[in-house]
Amino acid sequence: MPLNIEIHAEPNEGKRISLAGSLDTDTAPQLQDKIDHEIDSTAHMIIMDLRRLEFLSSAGLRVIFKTKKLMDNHSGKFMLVNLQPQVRKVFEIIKALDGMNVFRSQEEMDDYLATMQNKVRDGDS
Amino acid sequence: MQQQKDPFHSLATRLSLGIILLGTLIFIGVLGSNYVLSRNLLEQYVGELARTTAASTVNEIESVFSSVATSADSLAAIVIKADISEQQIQDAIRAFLKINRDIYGMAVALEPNVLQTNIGQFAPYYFRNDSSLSYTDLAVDEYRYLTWDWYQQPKTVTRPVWTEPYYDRGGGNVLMTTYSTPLLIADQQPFAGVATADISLDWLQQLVANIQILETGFGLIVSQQDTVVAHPDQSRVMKKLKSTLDSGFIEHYWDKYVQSKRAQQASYFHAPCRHEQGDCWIAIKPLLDTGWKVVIIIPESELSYEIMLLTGEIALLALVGLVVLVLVIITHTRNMINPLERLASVTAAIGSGNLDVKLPGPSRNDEIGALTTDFRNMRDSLRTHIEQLRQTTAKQQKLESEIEIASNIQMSMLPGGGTVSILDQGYQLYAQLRPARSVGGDLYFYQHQENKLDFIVGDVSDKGVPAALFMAKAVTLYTGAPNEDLSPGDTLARMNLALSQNNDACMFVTALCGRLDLATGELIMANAGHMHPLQKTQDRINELSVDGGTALGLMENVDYPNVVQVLAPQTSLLLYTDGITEAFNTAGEQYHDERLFTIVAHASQTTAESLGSTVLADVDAFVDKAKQSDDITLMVIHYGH
Repeated sequence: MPLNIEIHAEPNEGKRISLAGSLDTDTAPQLQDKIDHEIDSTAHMIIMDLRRLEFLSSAGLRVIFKTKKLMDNHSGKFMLVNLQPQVRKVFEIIKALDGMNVFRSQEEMDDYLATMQNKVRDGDS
Repeated sequence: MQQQKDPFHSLATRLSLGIILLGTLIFIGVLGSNYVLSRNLLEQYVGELARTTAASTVNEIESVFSSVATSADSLAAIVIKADISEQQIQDAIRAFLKINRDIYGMAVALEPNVLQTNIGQFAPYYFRNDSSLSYTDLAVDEYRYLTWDWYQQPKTVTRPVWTEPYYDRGGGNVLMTTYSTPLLIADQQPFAGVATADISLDWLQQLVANIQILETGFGLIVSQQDTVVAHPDQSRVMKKLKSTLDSGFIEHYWDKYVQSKRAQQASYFHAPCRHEQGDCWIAIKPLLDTGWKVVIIIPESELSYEIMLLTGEIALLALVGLVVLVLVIITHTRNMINPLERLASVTAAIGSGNLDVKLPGPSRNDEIGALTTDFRNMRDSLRTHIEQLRQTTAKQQKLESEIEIASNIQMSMLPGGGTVSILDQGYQLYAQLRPARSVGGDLYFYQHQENKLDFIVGDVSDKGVPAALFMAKAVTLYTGAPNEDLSPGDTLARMNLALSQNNDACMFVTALCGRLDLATGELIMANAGHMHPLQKTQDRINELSVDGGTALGLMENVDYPNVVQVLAPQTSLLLYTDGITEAFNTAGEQYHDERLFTIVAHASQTTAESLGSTVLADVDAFVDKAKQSDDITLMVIHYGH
């Protein structure tokens, strides 16, 4: 199964990476390549939308973790949204969800982001 | 190269043959039209020749005839005087003969007692005999001049006549025709005799014999009564034309001509010949006054012969031209084709792998030269590519052999080198690792010390060389741990700490680590993001929940709790990596946990090895011919005697 990668700009200098298909050993290098070339390493926020991701292997996980690490290095935000059950299970097995911002839905993430922004605003005032 | 042996498949031969064929067709066409045109021209020329020959012959004859007639008329004018003496008449005849050399002989023949009553029959005749003149008296009984045509006709018609040709026996004794003009005293009457002048037919014969048109054309002269007066064939002279019609043209055409109004005019027509095969061109011109006709006959075969001769010469020229053309074409096509043939043989040589074959030099500026240059470039780039491929292949082979060595090293890090089966006091252990590629990221290990069986099954993210290196690191870290008697949880924590430091590649390894007390059945397990093991007792199968922490390498300082339980004897424990549950078949379907559950549940409880083999065989059967997508590791631990 191939992997379809779409990258869109988000507000606040963020990027949304929408994945569809299978993120496995064969397709993981494609995603890594796209991220290396199209995502600024100093981006404020990366949202990885896995709504249409059907399959995720450990090679795919590695790319996701690496992207997260990229963001962590400069306190950027990395969020996963719309995980399908089988994909969520992969994260659960390796117990990797704990340190991640994972949202079931877009709304949940939007709420989170709104809260964060409010916090920042309150902190400023 | 094989087909070149057949000359008809050669481009040069086909080109030459095509041009030769076309050239031949063109030459035949030109020859044909040339033949027709030549024939038309020649016919016009021959017709003109026939007519002019006829006209000139007639002119020549007429000039002689008219001078002869004038002489006779003048003699008549002299003789008609009433007081002329016989001697004077004879003198006059001799005088005219001396002046006019065209005349063979002359005579004056008097009607008895008309001109002068004292002169009866009187007919002196002088004629040429070699260079002198001879005399004959025609007024003798043997001759009886009064009865001859030349005397009777002018008397009858009272005007001058040209007689039919005749043999003047007793007179001139030659074949002759005679112009005879009547002596008429005072306005036509009374008739007093005739004055005559003879023309020897020898002269006409000579004239006709000299007529030669082309090779076989000839002339003849016919009198008013259709008697042949002159003919190249002497034997036909003095015969009636119709009795010798084979000498010219058939009766029908002659009669038609004679009876037509054209009979007094020149005529030119085409009629069948009798003496020759085919037709003749015939020109007829009448001699004025006499009713005689000059006929010129040219057989058409003569024409055809001339045309054939002409056409033959042209055909010879054309043939020479064609041969020259063929030679030029063959030379030229050879020059064109030879480089192509060389290129073809070079292509064959290159096709069979000889890239060092010599190419013809780019000595030409045309398409073939361009082709040769392109071909040279192709050969060179082919050589470069093949060299690159050879180098790449060599590198690849080197890499493969290196990976093969790496694989051996990797497998040698595992107990049993990838497959192990142990039947020991109190436990059985079976483990197998199948990398998806030469090297892989799965790992297993076990260590039996005293009553403790330590074991681990792990799965490094991704596969291939990076995973293998990470696996080696993990195995090395693990093998150091049991000696220090760390619990499984502590072992994992220590490994995690080491693996997560400086792990920029974010490699990680999931692992299930355990320790089985063979004496008591106490099992301590810790889990780093790995799939839970399956437990099969004699009556049921279930997933043994081992709650743990994050996979090794992702986060520093993770705690891995030790999960403790006691195994009942005859319990089998299955530890596996996702290479089994995420094995795909050719249809792209996944093996799944359920199937693993089912096969384990139905497997007969015999040995660890038979259970492990059953599971792996089922995975193999499911995957069938699909390529193995991930490393597969299975470990079965059977507890109990």
